[in-house]
Amino acid sequence: MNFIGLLSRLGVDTRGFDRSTLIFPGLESRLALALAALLLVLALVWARSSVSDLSSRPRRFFLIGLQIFAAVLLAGLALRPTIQLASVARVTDRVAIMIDSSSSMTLPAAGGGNRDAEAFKFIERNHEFFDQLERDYLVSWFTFDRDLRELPGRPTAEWKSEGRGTDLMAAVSGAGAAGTAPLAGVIVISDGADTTRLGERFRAGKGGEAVKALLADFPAPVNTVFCGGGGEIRDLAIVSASHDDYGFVHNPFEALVRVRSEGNLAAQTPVIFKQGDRALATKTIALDGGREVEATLSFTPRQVGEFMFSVEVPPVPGELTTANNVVRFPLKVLRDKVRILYLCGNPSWDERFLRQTLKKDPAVDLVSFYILREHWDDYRARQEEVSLIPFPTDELFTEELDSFDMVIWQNFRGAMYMPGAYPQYMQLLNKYVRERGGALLMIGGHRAFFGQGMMDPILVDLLPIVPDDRIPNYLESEFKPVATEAGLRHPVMAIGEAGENPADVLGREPALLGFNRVKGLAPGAIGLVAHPFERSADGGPLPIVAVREVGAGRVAAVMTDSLWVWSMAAAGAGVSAKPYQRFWENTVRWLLQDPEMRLITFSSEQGRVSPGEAVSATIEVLDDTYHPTDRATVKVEVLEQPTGAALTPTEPEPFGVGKYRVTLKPSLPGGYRLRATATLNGRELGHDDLLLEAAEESAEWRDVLPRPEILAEISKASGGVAIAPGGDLKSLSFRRSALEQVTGTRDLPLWDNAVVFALVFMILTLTWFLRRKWGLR
Amino acid sequence: MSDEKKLDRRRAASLLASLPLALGAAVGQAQTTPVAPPVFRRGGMFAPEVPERPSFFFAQMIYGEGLSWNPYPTAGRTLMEVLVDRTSIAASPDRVDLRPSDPKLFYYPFLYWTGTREFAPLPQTDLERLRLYLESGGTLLVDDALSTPGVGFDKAFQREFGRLFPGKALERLPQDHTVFLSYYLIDRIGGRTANRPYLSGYNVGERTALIYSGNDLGGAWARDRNGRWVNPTDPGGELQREQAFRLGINIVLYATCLDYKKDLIHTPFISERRRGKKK
Repeated sequence: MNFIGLLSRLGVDTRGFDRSTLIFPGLESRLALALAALLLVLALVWARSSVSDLSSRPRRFFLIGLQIFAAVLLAGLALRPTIQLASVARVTDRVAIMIDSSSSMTLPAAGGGNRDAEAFKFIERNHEFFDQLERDYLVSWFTFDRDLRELPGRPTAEWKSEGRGTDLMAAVSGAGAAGTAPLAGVIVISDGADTTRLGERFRAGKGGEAVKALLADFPAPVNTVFCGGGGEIRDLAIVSASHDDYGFVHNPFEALVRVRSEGNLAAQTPVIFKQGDRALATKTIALDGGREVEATLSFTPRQVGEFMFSVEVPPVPGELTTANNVVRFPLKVLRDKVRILYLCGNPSWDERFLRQTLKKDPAVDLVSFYILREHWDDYRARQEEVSLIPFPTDELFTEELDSFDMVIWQNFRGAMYMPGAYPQYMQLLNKYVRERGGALLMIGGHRAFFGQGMMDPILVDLLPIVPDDRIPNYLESEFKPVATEAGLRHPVMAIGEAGENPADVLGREPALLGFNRVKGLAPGAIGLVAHPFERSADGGPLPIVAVREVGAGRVAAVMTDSLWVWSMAAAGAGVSAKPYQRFWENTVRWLLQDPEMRLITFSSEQGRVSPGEAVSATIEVLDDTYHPTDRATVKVEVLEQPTGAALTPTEPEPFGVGKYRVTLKPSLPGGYRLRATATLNGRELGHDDLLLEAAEESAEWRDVLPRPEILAEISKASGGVAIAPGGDLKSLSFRRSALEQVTGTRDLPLWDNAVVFALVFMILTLTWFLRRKWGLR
Repeated sequence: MSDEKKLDRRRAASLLASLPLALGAAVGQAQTTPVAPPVFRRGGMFAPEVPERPSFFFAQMIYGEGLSWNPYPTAGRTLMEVLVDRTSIAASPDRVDLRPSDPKLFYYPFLYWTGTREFAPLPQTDLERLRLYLESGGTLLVDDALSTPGVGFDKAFQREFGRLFPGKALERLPQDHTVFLSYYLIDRIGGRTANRPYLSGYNVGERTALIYSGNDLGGAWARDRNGRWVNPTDPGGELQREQAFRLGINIVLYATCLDYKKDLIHTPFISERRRGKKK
């Protein structure tokens, strides 16, 4: 019932109010309700009983009625009747207009110009439509790629299409959630080149179901305007290259490559697997226009390390873009097994316990050659009665050497067993260590570390010690070696329990039984363990364990053949044999340049940047005693970069002890390899390489074909309309909501005014008067 | 007359002849760490004979009382001389005699245990030392000099083995065990006798740490002071003695090189050699 007219006639100001309602706030109070009900009941009972003495029936009914009316009035007052006036406004719906600003919109559209220019012209050309739309609705304008960004209003100039991916469904969902007013509809202006899983599902022919499911609860129609159609499209693209995260040296590594072609292209194309500019494998595949073709390429890495690889297809004249013709990826090539060549001059307990330790590690592939018989030993049997085999020196050194990660040379006088070709083999060993980065471990005994020119000079040049000319070259005496200052921190000597001082461990272990005499440390070598009182020729402590970095490789020398007592004799003395195992494990790891034991690391938080984007990289340097140092000279050089690029890193800038920062700005797309080298006191501490790829965000460029079918499916699933830029905008679908909003209220209580109280008083007074007059009490 | 009391005259004579040597060894001290006389190897590096520091010692286990632990005082020396002659191992000819309780035991990862007679149980501490010795990398060659199963030394050793490794048993070494191809390719097993033409053993991990011979290898190796063989080798004669030396060499090579001959690089050569041998 509308009381507004009545109230206006009664002089109540009802301007601005559209609606009135009678409400009873007292109904919300249980106490008031209970009181009112009690009052009515009591009134009814009393009304009847209080007029029972009245003989006149009409008078009786009149009094009962009057009394009940009074009770009803009082009960009504308890409910606090109120007339509520309300101002009501209808809500304006909103419309979201989404403009695709991903990089693919910079590609050509039919009729010349780019897709984003076509979109802008569409908006400009239909300005009257958009004007009306803005009058009828609350219109919000957005650009989107992988993210959604609201614009201040309708764009008046072309925007920059730089987005690195396109997520249509996220954009539509974002539009639905942006704003409080109900959504009447969405207009999406795009080329449809979605780079998310939605795009993949459309390629697989299952896009329709996906869109339907995603838009099942969307509250408004999504209209789409397709920009980018028409004209012949030619494009050859590598869609993806799937591969393992790691490769293993000497094991085939495979990459599964998917190639898509569009348009009038050749029937075949080569797919090339490259490292830098070097082609590793090529496969020619037949193109199937519009469909993806798979090819598996493989190669066998021969070096451990991290490298930048790429899979490429050659550009096609006139194709849409060449940015998607190459996929680059860094790959770590690891050892699956450490391959060790173990040459031993004769069986001994030192060899036996080292062999046992190495064989315990399933990651070690041990190839051993022990000299079981000298030339003059007569085994007194026919050859078929012995298991002795020829020592294949030529094959080992000329063919197989590079396949080993490490060579152990134990108590072995090589010249005796490699007559004639021994100098050449030493040249190969030298190259193996210095250039290939191989590891050499030389272990002592009475046939090792000879002076007087009896060792090949090339071999001597590799060693961390200088041989002594004195004879005998091996002295027997019991001694407990001591750790040098460098040995206390060197990772090779981490032979105790966690944090335990190596000196304490050495003090506990059984005494060694003899040592090789050497003149001292070679230049650049570090002594880790020394004789407690014997001195070398230069007056320094006589080294028992020494290490050295030589070119790309590492060499270690152990000047005793009695280290095995740290295993068996230690057990007999009730001392742990673990230091023995740890010593050899650490030595092998250090020789194999375990990354955790490097003295220099070169790293960046970003492995991929956009061409022209600056990136920061960090170099951390330890000295050869494994302490951070800022006394080193650090240099960064570019080892590999794309042709034409001229990357110049900034000078390393210190920013902490042992930490340096460089800034890089790769200008051209492609793979870059940089090397940081640290030198301290004239000695190189080592190097580390950083791989960097400069490329446009690849996701956007993988599939740059315009996809009108995605837009059409979105419109269909949501009840919208899909049109081209020249289509009829009047056909676009929008929803009107019937929502109203109460913008203001005014309450007019009926119970707390004098008129109502006077009325109640009058009735009660009349009742009393009539009762008295008619003889009732 | 029980087996252990049967001694033929030749054996008795050889035992009597070796008595002075045995007494001398018993009176002498066990050597400590090896600052031992050099081994002279024929055709050494620089001259016809050049001293080389010994890297292998024949250690023999002393047990019980008396000399029953040393039936053939020269066996070890003879084997070492043959080892030096035929292989690259610089083995010391001087034997090292040790009790299991000797603190220097663990400096000799090869130990020889032999005897003819039944002996009293070893002290528990000795057994525990021996067990630790084997588990820490030691190799124990046990040689029944009586060459008779179930009596004398064999009976006592089987009892001690049961205490050493309760619940375990010696197992025959398969024909393709590395010990049979560690230097020589061995098809026949014999010592002074060929009563048990096999070796038994007990593994610690993948390594056969205890090797048991029931054919009195030492009896085949032993010479008297005049250089004559102490015992004949029956039934194979001198060929059998040669087999005993080859087996001894193989056992030493196995102890020092473990399964080296099982490396893949050796397999085709060994297979070919075996095929050649069969022809």
